[in-house]
Amino acid sequence: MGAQSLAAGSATVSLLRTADLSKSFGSVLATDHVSLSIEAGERHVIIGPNGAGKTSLLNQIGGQLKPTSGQILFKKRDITGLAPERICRLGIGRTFQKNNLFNRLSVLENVRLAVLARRGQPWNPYVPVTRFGALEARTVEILEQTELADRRGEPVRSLSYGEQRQVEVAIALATEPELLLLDEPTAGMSPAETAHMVGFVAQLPRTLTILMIEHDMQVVFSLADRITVLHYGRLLASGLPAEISHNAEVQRVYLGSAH
Amino acid sequence: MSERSARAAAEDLARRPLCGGWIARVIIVAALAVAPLALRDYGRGLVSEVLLFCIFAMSLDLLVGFTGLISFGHAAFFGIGAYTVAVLGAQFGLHPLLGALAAVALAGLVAAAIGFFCIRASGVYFIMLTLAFAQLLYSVSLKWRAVTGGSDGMASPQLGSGVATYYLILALFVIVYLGMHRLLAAPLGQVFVGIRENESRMRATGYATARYKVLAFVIAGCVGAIAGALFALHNGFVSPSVLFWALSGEALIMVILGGVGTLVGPIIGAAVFLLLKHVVSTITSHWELLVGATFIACVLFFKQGIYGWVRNRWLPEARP
Amino acid sequence: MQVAGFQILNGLVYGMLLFLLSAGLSLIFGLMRVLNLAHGSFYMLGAFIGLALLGWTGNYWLALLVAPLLVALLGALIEVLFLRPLYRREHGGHLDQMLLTVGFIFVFADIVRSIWGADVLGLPTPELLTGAVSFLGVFMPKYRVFIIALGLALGIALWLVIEHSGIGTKLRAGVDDADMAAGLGINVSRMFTWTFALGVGLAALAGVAAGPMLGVNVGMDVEILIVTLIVVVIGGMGSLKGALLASVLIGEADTFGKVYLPEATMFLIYLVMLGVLLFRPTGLFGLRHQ
Repeated sequence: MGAQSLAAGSATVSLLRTADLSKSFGSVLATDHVSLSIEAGERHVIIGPNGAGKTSLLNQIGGQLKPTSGQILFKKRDITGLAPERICRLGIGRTFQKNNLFNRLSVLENVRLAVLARRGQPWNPYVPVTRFGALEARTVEILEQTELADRRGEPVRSLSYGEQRQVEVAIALATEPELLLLDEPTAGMSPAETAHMVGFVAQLPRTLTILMIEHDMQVVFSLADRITVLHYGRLLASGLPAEISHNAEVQRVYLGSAH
Repeated sequence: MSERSARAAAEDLARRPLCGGWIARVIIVAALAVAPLALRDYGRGLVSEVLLFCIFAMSLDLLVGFTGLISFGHAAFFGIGAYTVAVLGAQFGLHPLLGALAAVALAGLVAAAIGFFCIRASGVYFIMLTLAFAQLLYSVSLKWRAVTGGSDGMASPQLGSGVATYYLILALFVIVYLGMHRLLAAPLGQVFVGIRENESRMRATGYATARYKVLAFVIAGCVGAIAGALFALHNGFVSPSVLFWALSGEALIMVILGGVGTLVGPIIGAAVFLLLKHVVSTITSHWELLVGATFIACVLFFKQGIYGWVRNRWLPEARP
Repeated sequence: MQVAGFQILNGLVYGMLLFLLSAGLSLIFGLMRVLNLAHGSFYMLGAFIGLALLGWTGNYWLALLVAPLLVALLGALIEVLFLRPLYRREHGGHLDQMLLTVGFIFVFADIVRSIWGADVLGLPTPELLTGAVSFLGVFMPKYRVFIIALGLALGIALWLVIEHSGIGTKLRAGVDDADMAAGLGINVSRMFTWTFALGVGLAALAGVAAGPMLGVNVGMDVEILIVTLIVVVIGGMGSLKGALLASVLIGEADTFGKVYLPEATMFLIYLVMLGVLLFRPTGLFGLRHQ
């Protein structure tokens, strides 16, 4: 597994690094001086009880939320507080915890918008979008990759919840990221859908780095190269799955209880 | 999948039945083209007015219906269009058609400037600011008596022939419709719709939505100014009422009554609204009350508008 | 010195009127997320109903008290009958609610014009408040001092209620999270109705109070709406503090503008607004909504 070579440590490159990142909402500290490092090519999973600040962290990396203090460095470049569109263009794509799609548009139109941003001429006011063969081909390619090709004409809101989660991933992939942020990709899915999603994520190429939030421990341990545990906004522990599952504090706080 | 077959498949998907298809549209335009032969001055003038307001309503719908930006100051661009033609005609003897070109250019600049401020302060502030800016222009038109004639208004150069004006308006109506249709089918139109549907998703996908919103604002402003310029040409007289908030409100009503978010909707809305106005105004002086009441009823019970209702009933597959 | 002092206090008078209006508008938006574009219309209704009451009873104080109550009642009715059905719509129906208020601008303008005509009417100053008095070393018409006092008193009352009472706590809870508040047993619907009534009642009060000073006419609805909107944009939507600060700022700017730059007063105010927007797109104390 890739985890072994990552554990060796020496030649790995830190793709994303947060330095003392903090976010406060009034008196509530959602993110408490989190310093985290994501290695290129790894599958890094963030876990923690509800309210631990996992989504807040992802939102700060993705640009939806402005940190109060600290830094986020992506490929050595300071992206702290940049607008979401800038961060996307720099190579970070994301899915959302609650489906954040173009509900009334078709699956194809959803993904095409993302492909258009990356590869098309979005400012073009005259040529019908369907005339761009390369655009359509690339869109269909992604639809096939995410097994949504036969649902392409349907409005997203008529899809099943699991299929909508897939569209979330399709859109994120269409932006051709180097780092993919997945916010609870299997949330609300049936066991079959979950297994499907896990299989899908597992076969994504290692040129793509993945940082994901997950609750389902089976998913976590089957996908993670490294795991970070958050608790009340603080980074409790970070390391290999084996280390984490044997970490006493983590057990006490999180793994022992529930799931 | 090869590019060509992908394209063919996509076109197949996009080729959905239009409202009666293109045939109906051609027939309507043809009917409008020969109408002056059948109508006398009053009827022809009425149709001219309806058509130019159809242009105005379409331009507002680009903002409200397609990009999701509710503006309560669209009269600003109508007024810029009308006054530029009138003022340039009066001050420099400029031919109204050239005046109209200047009007569109000016409207674009003003829209870019106002848009920059209004769109930064997004959300509810946007509507407040568009109203405020439009009222500013209204006050200017009232106070700057030397140039605009103040509340007395001023004369505007015309083409000299009611028939010629009619055909000019009809031609521009068709051009604007086709242009909008093209725009909405093009990548830019898709982006506008994307912004309306889910702006945060658009941003997370790499779109600098603020820039596109300003662009929508500029396009809508320019087309709105075309309508205003045509009004000056048609009416021969321009007064501050072309900048009054009621016009912005009426434009919104036309769009919603007809069917917001479609291209045919505002056309139907403008036509119905104006025809009703002409009929009702002769019966009662409470036109404003009716407008308000209709608008309230529309928002409460008939949000999809006339065209929206027609589409849902009979053409669930249709696209605007 | 006397002149400057007079102008400063004059600005405060206008500022207080604007405060009554902007506080109401901000309150309604802050809690209900509804931009009440008919706010100026309620101001106008207050003035005309006050005028009518004054005509019937000859008693200014009665008019000042009853007109806002009547308008508040009307507001409550409108909220229940027209706004409430829209909360169920997607995203809370707030856009549709705002459009609805636009419809009411037309309706009220027509009704007022039908009953009272299109001329500017005067609202006579009450006996008690005619004449001038020395206020903070400046000779001011009694009536204007009264308005300053009225504005400050209501401002303090609002602040006390919102920040320091049970009602206020519930109000703030509703602002933060309507669903949560409902879950805690707070009757959110009723609170919305009361808030809307209070907001438009304040506007109506401003209308009656402004009558003797600014006159009463059909166009006053949108005229005052624009200035109120500018005040709220500068102060920040949803903030009482912002409304007060911005009202005074614009009140002073308008007054001094009329003295030194009479033709460009309006531009001055817009410039102030643009200036604030450049640095604070959501106003000085605005709620940061996503």
